[in-house]
Amino acid sequence: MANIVDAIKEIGTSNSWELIGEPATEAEFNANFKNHDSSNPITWTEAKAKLDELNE
Amino acid sequence: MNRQGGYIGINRTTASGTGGSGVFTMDAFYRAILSETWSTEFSVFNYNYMGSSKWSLQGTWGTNTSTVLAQSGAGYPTYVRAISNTSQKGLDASWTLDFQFNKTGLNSSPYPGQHLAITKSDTSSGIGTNLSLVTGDKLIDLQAGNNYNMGINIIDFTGSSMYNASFSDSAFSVGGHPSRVTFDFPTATFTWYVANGTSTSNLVQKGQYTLSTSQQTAMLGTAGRDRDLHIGVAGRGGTDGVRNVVWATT
Repeated sequence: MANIVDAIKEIGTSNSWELIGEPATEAEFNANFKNHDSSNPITWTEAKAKLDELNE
Repeated sequence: MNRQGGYIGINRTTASGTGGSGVFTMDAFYRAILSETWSTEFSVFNYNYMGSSKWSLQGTWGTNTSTVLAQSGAGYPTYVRAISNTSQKGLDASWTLDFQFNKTGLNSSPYPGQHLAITKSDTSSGIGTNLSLVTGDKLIDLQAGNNYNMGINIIDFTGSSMYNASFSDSAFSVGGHPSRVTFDFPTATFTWYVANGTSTSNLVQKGQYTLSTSQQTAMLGTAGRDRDLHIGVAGRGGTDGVRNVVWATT
């Protein structure tokens, strides 16, 4: 079973990012995810969609 | 021993060209740690695609009495095993761990990932006997993967991710470039650095995370915070391997 960390790793392979914990909501995601690459923003919606795809 | 799907420390030498390479994933790495006595019976997977493959015990435990614990020189085998000394206990002391992922030619897919893990002993002193079944085995994983990717994963014993950081930058692909992880006590702060050159003066901070008191306890347990830490590496050997591991106090 993939988690949100796995999803972000799938999306942000070329990004520089930091993530605290395993956010389960958009608010938690926004509070704990830092994307250092403005060229490829990663949103909660995108991460959650990738997570659902990984767990299909 | 049969550990399907979980390669760790494939015994490949570039000199002989024998054996094979594989793709190491973090899941496979941790599966190997959890399913095996990874630190006490160090698992090197002797891969022989034309015959039988097996895990074996290789290398000896290094102590922190020498400047370089393992993988110094031209050989760079697939294995490193080392324990902290009395001044580098668990999460109750400050420490610095220096090492190198040799990333020459990293941007090739599939690339055999490289890992360095920091775990703990089940005793208050020394190597312990039951490492794979105690809390704290999943502690810290440093990894290098395909396409110049590098990352740090701090995970508690339940498997929950506490902190991750990742980046991909070819500027950090110089062969033998240094990496460093520090733990500061009593602030309980991990800091991760990677160098975009061959000198420690090139180190750039790439991540930082501070544990709360409850998180320290969650990682190692109240009794485990002052226990020895172990390091081990997995990945392809030869000149592509993890090298020059040094564990020193700050």
